[in-house]
Amino acid sequence: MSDLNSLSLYKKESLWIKAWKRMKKNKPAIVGLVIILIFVFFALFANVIADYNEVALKQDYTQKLLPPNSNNILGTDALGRDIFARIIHGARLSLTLGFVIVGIALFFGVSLGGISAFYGGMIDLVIMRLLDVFMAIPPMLLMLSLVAALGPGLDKLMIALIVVIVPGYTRISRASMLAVSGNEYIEAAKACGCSNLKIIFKHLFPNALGPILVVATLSLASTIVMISGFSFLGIGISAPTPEWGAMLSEARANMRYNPYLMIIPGTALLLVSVSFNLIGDGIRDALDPRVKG
Amino acid sequence: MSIPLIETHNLKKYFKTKAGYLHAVDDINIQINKGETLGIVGESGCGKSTLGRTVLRLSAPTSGQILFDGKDITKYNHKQMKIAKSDMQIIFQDPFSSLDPRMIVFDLIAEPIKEILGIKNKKELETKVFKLMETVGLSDKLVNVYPHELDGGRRQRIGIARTLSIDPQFIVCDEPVSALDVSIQAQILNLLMDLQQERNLTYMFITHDLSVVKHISNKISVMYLGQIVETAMSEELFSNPLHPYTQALLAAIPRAKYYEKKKVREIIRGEVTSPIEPKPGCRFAPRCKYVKAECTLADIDYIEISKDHYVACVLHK
Amino acid sequence: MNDVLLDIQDLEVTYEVNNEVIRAVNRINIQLHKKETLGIVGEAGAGKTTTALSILGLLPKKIGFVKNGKILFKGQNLLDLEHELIRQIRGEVISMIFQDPMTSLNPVIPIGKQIAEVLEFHNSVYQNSLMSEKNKQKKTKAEIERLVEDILQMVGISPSRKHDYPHQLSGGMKQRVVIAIALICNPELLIADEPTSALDVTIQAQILSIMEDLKDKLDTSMIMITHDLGIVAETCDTVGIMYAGQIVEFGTIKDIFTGDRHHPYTVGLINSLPDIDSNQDRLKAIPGLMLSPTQITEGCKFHNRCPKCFDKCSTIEPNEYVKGSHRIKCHLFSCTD
Repeated sequence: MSDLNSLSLYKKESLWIKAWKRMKKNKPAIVGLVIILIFVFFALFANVIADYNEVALKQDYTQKLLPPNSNNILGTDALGRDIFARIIHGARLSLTLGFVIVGIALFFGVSLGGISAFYGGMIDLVIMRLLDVFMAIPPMLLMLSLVAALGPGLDKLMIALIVVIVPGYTRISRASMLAVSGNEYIEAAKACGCSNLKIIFKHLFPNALGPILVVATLSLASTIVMISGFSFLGIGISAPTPEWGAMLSEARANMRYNPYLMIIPGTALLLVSVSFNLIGDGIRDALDPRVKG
Repeated sequence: MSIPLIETHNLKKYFKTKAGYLHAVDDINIQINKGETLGIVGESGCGKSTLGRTVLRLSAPTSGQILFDGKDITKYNHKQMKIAKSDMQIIFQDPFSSLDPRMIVFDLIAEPIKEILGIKNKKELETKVFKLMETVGLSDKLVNVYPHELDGGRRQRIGIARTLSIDPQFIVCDEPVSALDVSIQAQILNLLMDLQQERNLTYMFITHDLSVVKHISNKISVMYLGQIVETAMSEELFSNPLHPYTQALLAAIPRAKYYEKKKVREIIRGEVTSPIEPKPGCRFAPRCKYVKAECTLADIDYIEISKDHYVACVLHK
Repeated sequence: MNDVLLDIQDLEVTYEVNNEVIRAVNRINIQLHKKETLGIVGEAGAGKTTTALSILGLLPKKIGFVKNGKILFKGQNLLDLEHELIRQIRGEVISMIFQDPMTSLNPVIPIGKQIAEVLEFHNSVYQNSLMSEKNKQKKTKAEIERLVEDILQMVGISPSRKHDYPHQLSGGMKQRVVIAIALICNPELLIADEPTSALDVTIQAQILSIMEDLKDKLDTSMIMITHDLGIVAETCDTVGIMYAGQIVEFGTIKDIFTGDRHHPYTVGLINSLPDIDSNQDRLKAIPGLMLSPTQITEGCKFHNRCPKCFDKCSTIEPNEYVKGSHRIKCHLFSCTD
């Protein structure tokens, strides 16, 4: 007989709570998460810590090229601006851009991939061939020509980046959903009367999520690097906006005698991208109950 | 006089391939009475699993009728089918891939209850799930466990609990024990038989293993390349197999008995031919040792030789 | 003459994963005589495959360890051999057939070439004392070609199909190719790990009879690993029943299938088989589950499922009861002597 005692055995825990519990045991992922949270913290309170116009943009030639000191903990650049202030304001811009671009691309990629995988046939064919066209053009060329066609500006650069990364997302979502939909438990769900929508969201999606999330976190890092790359080339974010790539670019002139001008934004970039990679792997493992923590 | 719960008339399921149509299920007529079990036996690729799925309309039939309780369900629309599904269920072969690895046992068993019976009330759900776990012999300590932490036998019990959760009348068992160890296999077969007695269930038991099906079935149909070649009551089929293919199948089973002198096995030659656009005539003819000219001329009629014993072979006209 | 070809003594194998010790094989003793077939029967996780892998030195590196014991092949302990030497023995003196013919062939190489490769490899390497005389001469290309055609003929595939790729063959045909690969070097011992469980019954019967024929023709001894007592009854001379890493009963086929002294697990295993020659209604299942190999248990490993369990079964590990060729590891009998 099922008595009250046995009823209490069942504890309702959502997938995400369990995933977090497993994630907590994964040290590298937690290190990555902490680093990202520190950057996010500085980005959120950038204005409180150092005023944008007063500190990050204000040029002061008497204070130029100072090494780290008590006033400017990371020193100043060739125009006398505080590097720490520029890094944290840069973090604000880079992280926001990264999240927005990856978020939008993920939405399109997963929807297109899901539609392709679930319906198959003609729809699949059309979507896939269209994306192949995009993938056939070298990404740098595609972005440059898109930026050239749309005109300069941050929003245009974002569109170009999204167009470039969506095909990859779509392919990966489609492949991993196809692999999952071949499993008997999808058929079992059909047999017990689940609607298509429910099957997609309850069975297909959670099981296909792993590889998609890894790719998303990986490309979050690479997107930030790419934006920096464009800033370095002078497209996209224009001076005097503080941006890591732009800072790297500006540091070129003085890199021989003041290498820290380059090392600091470079390190920031490296830390962020490595941390995102660690988090990506961590999330994938955490979402899979078969991996022992 | 028992009434058939499920019947098919000239049921066909063809798949389109590049080389032509694959006749997975070709003109199948079966009848299963309420509370009885029909065993479907055949080798891999003979269409037995497709038949099981088509009967449940998990895949749409190419032509023919499926009568459930006298009503033709091939004409049902989506909504009617959803209601019908609560009476017709399936137990899958592979207990390792038929359970969503990201769901715990409780959610797995509760899913069909929520979906088909529409019970969302927590107390009611819990009572039902624990009752089911008891029925199939799963300890209630396992509610929070993921399927990958369990062995094959326990996972198959979850599959059975899922199937039973909505109180179906008719269950297609698609090789439910072939992935399990012998000692566990016997446990599951006994469980299925007990459940049938308690709940007056009707089974269609699909397997490649004649020895498994003997005990659980009232009637057995032998399938070869999309067609049924012989149907008889279980005992009759084993004591008096008429079709050469049935005889070959029986002879091929290794017996777990010690014989002073090892017997010389009678082995049928060749392998299953392609089910794509088959030629007229008996499909077993290329492997049959009694093959005659008339075997490949035209399709062989499937006729009643004695009471409840049907066979499609020129040797028995 | 009944020489002992393979003598496994006190073999103990463990797997160590994530700080967990899995005791896969616990002190087993097995003897195989020349030209005979030994059946090892047991359920999944009983340690059958582990035993086979340790004979060939194929235990997964850094996970599987032979803790104890000897594997004497023609009097020489295989566990003492150097890595290079054991590699030459594999395929030539001892070869193995794996369960799944679908994945044991390389899909991009024609089958004829895959068979020839084994010969070519063993043609070039230096010879060692365990090898038989007939393999010692070097073979020419034409000879290899002829041997490949011969073996294909023997396993029942037309030699004209040697240029076919694995996907052009059915499951049964692929398993024939696998057997051809295993037998091309005339090995003295063939280990077959569930060679037919992925195949249909009618094809299984074909494959078993081919193996039987070839074994006689080539004077090969065989270890047949299976979960199917029916296959054992029809093909083996001696049988070892394995449960939770131990050989619980060992003897000739007559010892196992006749007489009234048996290990309760053997009895349960035979009873739980659906018997097509009788009319029983319910199957006699063995209740419960096999103990997890990570658990360290006192006493008999089977005691929690045993219908005849009594007080000392759960505390003292039973000794072997020996009567002629028949050995049973159970308290029911060992208390008599």
